[in-house]
Amino acid sequence: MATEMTPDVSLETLVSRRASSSPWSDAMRRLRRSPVALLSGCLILLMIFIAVFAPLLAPHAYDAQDRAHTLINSGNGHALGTDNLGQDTLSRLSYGARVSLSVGLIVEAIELFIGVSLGLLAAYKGGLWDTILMRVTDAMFAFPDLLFAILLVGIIRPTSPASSFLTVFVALALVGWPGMARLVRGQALALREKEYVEAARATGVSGWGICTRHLLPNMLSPIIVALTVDIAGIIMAEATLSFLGIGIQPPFPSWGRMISDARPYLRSQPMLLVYPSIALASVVLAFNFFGDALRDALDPRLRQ
Amino acid sequence: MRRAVFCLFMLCIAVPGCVRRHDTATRMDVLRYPIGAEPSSLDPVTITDPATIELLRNIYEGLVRFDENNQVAPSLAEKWDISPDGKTYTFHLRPGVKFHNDRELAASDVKWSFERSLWPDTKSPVAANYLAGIVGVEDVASGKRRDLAGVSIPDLHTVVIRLKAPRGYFLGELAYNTGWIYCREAIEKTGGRIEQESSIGTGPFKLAGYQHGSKVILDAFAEYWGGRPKLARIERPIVIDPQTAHVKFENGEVDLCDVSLNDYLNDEKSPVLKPQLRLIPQPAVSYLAMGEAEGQPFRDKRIRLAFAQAIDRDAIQATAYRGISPRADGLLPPGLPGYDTGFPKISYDPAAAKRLFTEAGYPEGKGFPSIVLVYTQKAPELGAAAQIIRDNLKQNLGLSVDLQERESATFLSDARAKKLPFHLNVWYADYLDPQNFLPTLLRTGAAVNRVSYSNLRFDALCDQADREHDPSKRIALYQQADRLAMSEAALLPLAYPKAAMLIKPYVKGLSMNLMSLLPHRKTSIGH
Amino acid sequence: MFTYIRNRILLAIPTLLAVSFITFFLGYLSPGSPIDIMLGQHSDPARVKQLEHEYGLDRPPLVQYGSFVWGAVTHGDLGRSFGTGQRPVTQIIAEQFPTTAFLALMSMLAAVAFGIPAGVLAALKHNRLLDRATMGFVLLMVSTPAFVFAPLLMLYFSLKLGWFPSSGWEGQEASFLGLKLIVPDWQYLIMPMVVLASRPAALLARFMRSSMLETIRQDYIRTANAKGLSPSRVLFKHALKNAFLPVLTVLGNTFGFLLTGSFVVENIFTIPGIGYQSVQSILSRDYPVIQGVALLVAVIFITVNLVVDILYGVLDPRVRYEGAK
Repeated sequence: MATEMTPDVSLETLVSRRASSSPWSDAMRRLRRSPVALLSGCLILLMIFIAVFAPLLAPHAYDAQDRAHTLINSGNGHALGTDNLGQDTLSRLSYGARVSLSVGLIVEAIELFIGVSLGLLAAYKGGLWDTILMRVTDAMFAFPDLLFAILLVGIIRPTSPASSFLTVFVALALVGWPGMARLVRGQALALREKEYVEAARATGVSGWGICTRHLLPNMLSPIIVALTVDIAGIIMAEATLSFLGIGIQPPFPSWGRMISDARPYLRSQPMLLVYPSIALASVVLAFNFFGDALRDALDPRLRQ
Repeated sequence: MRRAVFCLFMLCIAVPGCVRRHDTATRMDVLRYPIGAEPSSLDPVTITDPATIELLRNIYEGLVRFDENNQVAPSLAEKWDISPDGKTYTFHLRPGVKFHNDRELAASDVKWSFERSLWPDTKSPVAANYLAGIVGVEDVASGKRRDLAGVSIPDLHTVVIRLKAPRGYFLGELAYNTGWIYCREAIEKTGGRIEQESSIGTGPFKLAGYQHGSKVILDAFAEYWGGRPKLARIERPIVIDPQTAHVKFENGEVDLCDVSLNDYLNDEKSPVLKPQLRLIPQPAVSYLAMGEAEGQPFRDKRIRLAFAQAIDRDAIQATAYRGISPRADGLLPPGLPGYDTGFPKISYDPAAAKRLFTEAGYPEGKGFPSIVLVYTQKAPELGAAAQIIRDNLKQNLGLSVDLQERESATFLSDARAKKLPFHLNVWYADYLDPQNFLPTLLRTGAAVNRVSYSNLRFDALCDQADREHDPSKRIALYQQADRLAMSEAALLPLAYPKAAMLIKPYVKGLSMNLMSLLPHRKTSIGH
Repeated sequence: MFTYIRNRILLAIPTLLAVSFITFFLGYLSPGSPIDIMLGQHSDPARVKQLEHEYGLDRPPLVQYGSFVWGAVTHGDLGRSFGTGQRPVTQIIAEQFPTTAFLALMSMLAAVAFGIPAGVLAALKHNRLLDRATMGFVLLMVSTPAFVFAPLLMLYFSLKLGWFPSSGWEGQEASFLGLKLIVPDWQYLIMPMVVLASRPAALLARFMRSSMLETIRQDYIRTANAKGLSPSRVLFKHALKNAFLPVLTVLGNTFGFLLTGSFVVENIFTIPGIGYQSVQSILSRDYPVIQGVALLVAVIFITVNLVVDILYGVLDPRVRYEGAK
């Protein structure tokens, strides 16, 4: 089947084309032409802007309690209403962007780094490397992560916001990488046998070169998909952690925390749940559509 | 019998068929009431959680019980005499009481049950504490002897219990689940462990089925000494999520359900649900603990009083407890013997708090060590209370307090090790006696005294009350002790938490006391 | 092939040992102990000491671990739970795992039945409205946590419309491989299945779409199209099969998610599975149950990953088995 097909682009043309112009500038140019990419890119930038300048943008402090006006839908200077302590929802959403976006992005970065390097190592080196690394990921899947998080609290005894931030990253990244490693390995195994990789190997390209120049660019698509979908899970997982005593402690808000705190008010004050959910969903949508556009832009086969 | 056949028939055609939504025909005398957690055990002496205790209270009984008026009342013991020195209790068992296996209850069952509760291999975490007054308990609990010296059985229907010292609250302790009586031969048949088939007591209902994670079924015990219960069956589906329980109630899938305070306020707006709502007082008090151990800032009484004046407990009552649970000033909750309506208040007074704090050496909060307020998610109101306390201390004393929410086991282990100098907690009484609040929480060296409070005058008052057996004198002494400790802000009581319930109008004859719903001896489903 | 499978099964032994070792020491080192939970608000140092002794928790950690491994290897005995009536762990798993597995399997089928066609459809209509709408819907599923989605379903479909019972798990008792389970009536199954399947379905759709896009741009598909093969033949014979390959790994990872992620769904819909047990056992430091569940999950992952790897080889002959070389 697949192997019978002959590529209509020869290896030389592919290689020479790649060398002729910077792939990144090329990609950027194409990215700018896509309206969806522009829109979602702008949304991401906007969220980052809000996160960075939350103190200037938020109408109230995130922990200011207006106890005369609790659980209102809007009014009294609270555009999006207040929670059970009279804290302003809009302000908490803007501050919450800080925690949620930074947790999402940093954890993804750690996950990506560990997952890709171990996955590639397993697939490319094969043999014993593959066996050991994949058995480790098997074990990691069964790893009781909740218990690990509790242990982290025991060891670190976080008392300051900074130390709890750190524990969040460690706990979440540790849980996330095995999935990524498996994905990368699976992809690399399939790609390893492709003609152009064999050709590159035959022409004496180093293992590192094959990995970075041939394997990685060709598996970008599933990686981007995995990352952009995962971000929602990571942002929500942070909320679970804060219940265990690590994670960001109240009154500092995060979107995940706001969603889970709003749960008892599902019937009486559903808007408390709706606003952070919209924030979370819009970020997830933006990242996914941007990721799609990015992948299209980076795809060498789509170049004109 | 006819009804049973009919029920069975209906059940058969109902099972594979459609959704049984408003199907009341099969369950005219079945009470369906969700239980909020998997029962922690079927063995009454190993459980400490209110939900399981309430469930098993329908199966087992003790010598005495607490009645609807929160008073000690006869149960398996018809009457009892107390010797003049208060150290010997003679219980006269009710004649004709039968176990669920039809065997008649004898005095030897009482002795054996107490002994089994104490044996180390029964692994009861609390029995040795609640039977501690009896002569010889240590020997049995430590495994030195199998036989409890302080309990003797002169005849088939008499049990004599000798105490080490007079203990005014002894009957209260006996009403706790470590004093329940169970059936020896059944338990010995299952290797000393209480399992489904050995869950045999004398209560109005017997265990008919237990599907783990799914439901517990209790059937009426026809030969119950107090008369056959009106219900034929109690079904307790295990519903962990409170929102699910609420939907089940609205859907007519259950007859009773617990309601959170938030849902209570929301349901009050519904004309259908409003008349079905009921607020339930609890034998509980929530408090802020400020550890007074050597080296802690709170050792200085002025600091504790400054905190007490800087914290707006009315705001906590209105906001965290949604205006439902009353504000607390003393430790004893309403309904409990000894509740004091005129308890002196420490009022919210930021200016006075600031003065006191300056006097204690921390003007504007300068130099005060950084403190972390720890609490668990178990009681959702505590989280809100913690945030209000943080806000109050920041505004009024210029302190910055970090909040730490901890998962239960970590919290409990830290609390036990007295590693939580500043925390929020709720204390639930195990029996309705002031003794279970005052000396238990604050006597010098008491196991649950997590703030290391020590005041010799307080200790003396409590000791005197513990030994007193004139109830009114006892209570007056405890009240005095309560006022003394609170005037020094030994703990800062916040509120007396209330629970809420939804009850279908056709459920009749429910009885409850401060502890929980009582056994469903008189409950019926009306039409 | 046979050697490969045999080697993989042999390799499962050190993996399981590693899992149990890590799990044991995580529990041992964690703050709080099962005794703390048993005592609840009570605390009496003498009682704590005694209970620790009765449960064997006062032995040196290596002795505790050793005796666990010994019991497991020689008798298949995983110990008794510290809570819920001190049931044997093997019994808890035997009674409650089949329900979770059944729910997970049904959800998996639902996820595949929805996710794969949705992904293919979106890819074929690349960048058009249908593509965007499908992906938007799918992403909404991903970013709605189960604990929000489930009550919403319940409020609408059960309370408002009365289509399904709000919760519960009732139906016919069945037996499979000697394990008893209740096969629920469909009314009880629908809502939990939809909630549990939503996230994997979304993931599958996302991956399928991108993999499909990748594949139909491959040169051999273009060649096939150019050769004049019918579009449906190209789609089903060539594209689909190749596009499915990367999705396979995701499918494997997802199955694990279904097992462990069933916690919330089981809680909300009151389903007597193992999800609730597993989380509860960690919160109450019920070490034997924690061990049992960790080993169970490990066995499932090892099996699923083995199956995925074998399928890789079946679907793509170029992938060689290391053991068979």
